[in-house]
Amino acid sequence: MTLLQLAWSYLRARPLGTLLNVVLLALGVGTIGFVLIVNGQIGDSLTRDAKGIDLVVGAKGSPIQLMLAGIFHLDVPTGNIPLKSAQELAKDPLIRRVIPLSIADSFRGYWIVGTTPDYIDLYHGEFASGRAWNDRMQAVLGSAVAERTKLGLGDRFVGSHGLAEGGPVHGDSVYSIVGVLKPTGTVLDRLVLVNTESIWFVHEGNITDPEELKVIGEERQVTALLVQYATPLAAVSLPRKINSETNMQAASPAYETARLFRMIGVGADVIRAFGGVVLATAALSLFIALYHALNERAYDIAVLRTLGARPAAISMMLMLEALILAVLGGVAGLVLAHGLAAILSWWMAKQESVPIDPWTFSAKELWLLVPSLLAAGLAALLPSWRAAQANISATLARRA
Amino acid sequence: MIRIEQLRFGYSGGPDVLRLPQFALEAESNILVVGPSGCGKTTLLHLIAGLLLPSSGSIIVDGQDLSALSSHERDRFRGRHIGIVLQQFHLLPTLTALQNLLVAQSIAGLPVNRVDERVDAYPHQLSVGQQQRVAIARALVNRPKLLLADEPTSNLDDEACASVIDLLLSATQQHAVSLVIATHDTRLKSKIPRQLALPRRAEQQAA
Repeated sequence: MTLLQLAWSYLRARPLGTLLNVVLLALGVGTIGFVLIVNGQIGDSLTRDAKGIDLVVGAKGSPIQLMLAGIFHLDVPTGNIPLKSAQELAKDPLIRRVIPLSIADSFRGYWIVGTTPDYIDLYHGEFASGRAWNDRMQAVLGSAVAERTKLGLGDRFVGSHGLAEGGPVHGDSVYSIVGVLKPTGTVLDRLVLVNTESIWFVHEGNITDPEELKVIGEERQVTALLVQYATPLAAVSLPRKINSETNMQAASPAYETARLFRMIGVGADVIRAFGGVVLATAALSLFIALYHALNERAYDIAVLRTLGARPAAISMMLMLEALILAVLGGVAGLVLAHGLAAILSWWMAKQESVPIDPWTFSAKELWLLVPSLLAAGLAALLPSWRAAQANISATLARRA
Repeated sequence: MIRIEQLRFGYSGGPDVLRLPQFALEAESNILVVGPSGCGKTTLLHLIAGLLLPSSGSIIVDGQDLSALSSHERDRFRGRHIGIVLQQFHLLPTLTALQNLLVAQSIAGLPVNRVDERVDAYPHQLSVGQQQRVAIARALVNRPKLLLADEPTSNLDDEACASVIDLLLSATQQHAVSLVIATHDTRLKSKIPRQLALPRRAEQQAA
């Protein structure tokens, strides 16, 4: 019959009050935890997608939009840039590698991206089956696309213009699938990859006349370039040079991601603050419950003292009650946080947005028990202290 | 077992509530503390239990001067050497009868006995008589040498009164425990002949 068991017996004796306090603590911890998990997961996901890309170059416009479209494929592109300007840029000695992206069409809500095999290398993509394209109108599917569309090697499909399903269909240009990638945990999983020529072919038609080909070759465009620097020094001069001397725009993923996070970070802060308020409410509720218990149990406490319990033991009993609730509420809150993340993950998957894995638990999350323990500890402070001060003789004499 | 010398007790600033020049109780003997209400019977019991400290004078229980102990030591001394039975026979309502006994051992820092018979009923499931027996058992579970009882029979009918006092007497006799009962219940006088009569407070002041 330890103090812990004694504290537990009092919690069990009033299940509704106990439940209320656990639920309040769980809501507070759950809300804060939810923000933490989702922020972390989205951050990780975006970091993976942007890894190895020093600069995105595309048409002038919003740099965030360029980044969202060029790297994460979450937005429509800002426009196209002339192929010639792109080729010119690629010659710059400060640049190690340029990956062109041509984005115009989609297939069942997944972007069809015209690019080079370098793009697959960038995300360390491996083939689950088949191979890379070696000619136009050959497509490689990202793992999520293959899984969702149930298409595989040898199947054929046509793209539609823009992202919306049911848009104008390029009915006479049929892609055949030559490869399917293994999951990479990056944006690659959600893309249909073809070579750049395929995109031109789909939009230009089959041009065989050499004269016409020459004219049209002058006007060819791509959507964006993913640039890897040859030297870190490039970061100093290259973006400025592109932005001021060409009709293209350069956006740094690191900088723009941070800017984006600062913007949505306000929303996250609001939710986190809400969690803090709920937690404070929980602390208040707990405080009232313990304070009430103090009066309700004055005689019990006196009896414990007659049995030889020291004042500190009585304080400890109340403190333990609060801490038991804190641990229960904290653990329930963690489960709640992951549950909320699972709902968000399901919703975001439906939107083909950034994937979240809601059931990854990390040891770091145990830190979430700290605010819960802190709230409970603070709530129990005054009642515990009062319990230790109680005049036992007076309490016993009053009832006698 | 108990030796009291020049005892005075009063709340800070106020007049003395209790004065007792001299009192002694030998081991294994019983005594009733009687007197009109407000004369300090309960106060005396609390002083002997170390729940209150005298303003002056000394209280020595089983050779130990209570004033010489720190408050922590006094709590421990009470837990191990003094059993207390209260008027309400108050059991902790959230614990079973068995747990009510175990908690007394645990608090006193004594090894917890294994009790073969399972007593899993909660206080509200017990009859009043059963509650009384559990409360007395709890007071005795740590084998104290002194048992203090505050008005144990005041709310009881004759039959219940007799059974409680018989239980107290037989239990204390069996375990060689001294028994001090504070009471104004005249029915007990036939059972315990020795009495300490506390005078009215006014008479104490005059003394």
